[in-house]
Amino acid sequence: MKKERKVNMILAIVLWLICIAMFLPMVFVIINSFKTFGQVVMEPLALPEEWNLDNFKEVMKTGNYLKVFGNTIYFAVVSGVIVIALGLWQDISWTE
Amino acid sequence: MKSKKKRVREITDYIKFVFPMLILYFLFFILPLFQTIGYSFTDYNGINPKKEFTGLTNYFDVFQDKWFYNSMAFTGKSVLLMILLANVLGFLLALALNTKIRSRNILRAIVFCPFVFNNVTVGFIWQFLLGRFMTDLYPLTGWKVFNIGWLSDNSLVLYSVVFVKLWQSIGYFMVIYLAGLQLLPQDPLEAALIDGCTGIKMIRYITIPLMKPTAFVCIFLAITESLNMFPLIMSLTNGGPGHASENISLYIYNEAFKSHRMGYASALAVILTIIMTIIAGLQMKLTREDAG
Repeated sequence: MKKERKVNMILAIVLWLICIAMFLPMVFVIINSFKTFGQVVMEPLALPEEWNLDNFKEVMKTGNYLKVFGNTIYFAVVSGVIVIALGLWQDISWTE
Repeated sequence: MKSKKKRVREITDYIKFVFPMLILYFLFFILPLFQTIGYSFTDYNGINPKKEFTGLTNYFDVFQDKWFYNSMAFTGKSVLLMILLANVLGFLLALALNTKIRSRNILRAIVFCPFVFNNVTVGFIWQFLLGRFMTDLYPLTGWKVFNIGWLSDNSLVLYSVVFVKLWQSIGYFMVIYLAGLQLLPQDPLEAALIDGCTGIKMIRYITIPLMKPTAFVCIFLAITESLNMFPLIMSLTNGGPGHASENISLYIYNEAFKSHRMGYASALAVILTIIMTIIAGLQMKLTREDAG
């Protein structure tokens, strides 16, 4: 029993290392989103000099983020409605 | 008499049943398919509606085109690598995460996390990481790994693309293998335990043979995943350097919309469709034999 616990401990440590390695890219992207472009190019590793939200503001304004996201929602809703409508149609014609 | 009437009603019922879907299927699948086959016999350039019938020249050209063979080789290599690595690593991860570790739920979530990202987002993240970030890490650490042009070396770009795809989709394979492991029948496992079978022997002789159906599913998922790499490659390398990481679908896209050779691209697409049909038929045959 004790040996099994030891093996599990080692396994857990190895798995945590793998998962941290897998998660790092996402962390870098999140951290970099708070930097200015100059700092991203100059020192991609460092923490931001100041945590500013300028990038997010710019995305909202010039990137038309809300509109693009709205388009995505629109596609999702419309295709969902069509699929449900077709399913209902089949259901109705089946039970008639 | 009555039965005939009933039969007619049944048939009309069936038609009503499939009719809306049939229209959509016809409009968005059958029609474009035949249109593409039609284009493949012409020199249509995608813009000019005037096109000349050229017979089989497009097809002859395809088989003399070295970039066609190049992209087919890339596709084949990436499919093989994905089948091998995704299944082995996914299975190992599933085995490891199926043990009684306390934090296994968090670990499963983290491994699965990249799969919810869009292909294009993943491509741009890794383009930044492999292209720019690595070169900045090299002077800091001095490790040789960071001094390699992962995206700019002709022979390495295949492995980087497969690695990124693997990073993204390994969680998916892990989840499927986990489901397979948890659905395993308990009796053979217990019987083996009583017979004194443990550890690696248990996995080798009991678990792996029992996991065969799951492995079948995963192999074909790996094939589709690596054939659907178009958005990933487009955002990661855009086929570069040169044609080194050009997938067959990316090559078709480039021929059709960048070189404006719609007719030629249609011929390529028809050949790809034939290959896909053969693979799909093989899959159906294999899975049916396995089930029956």
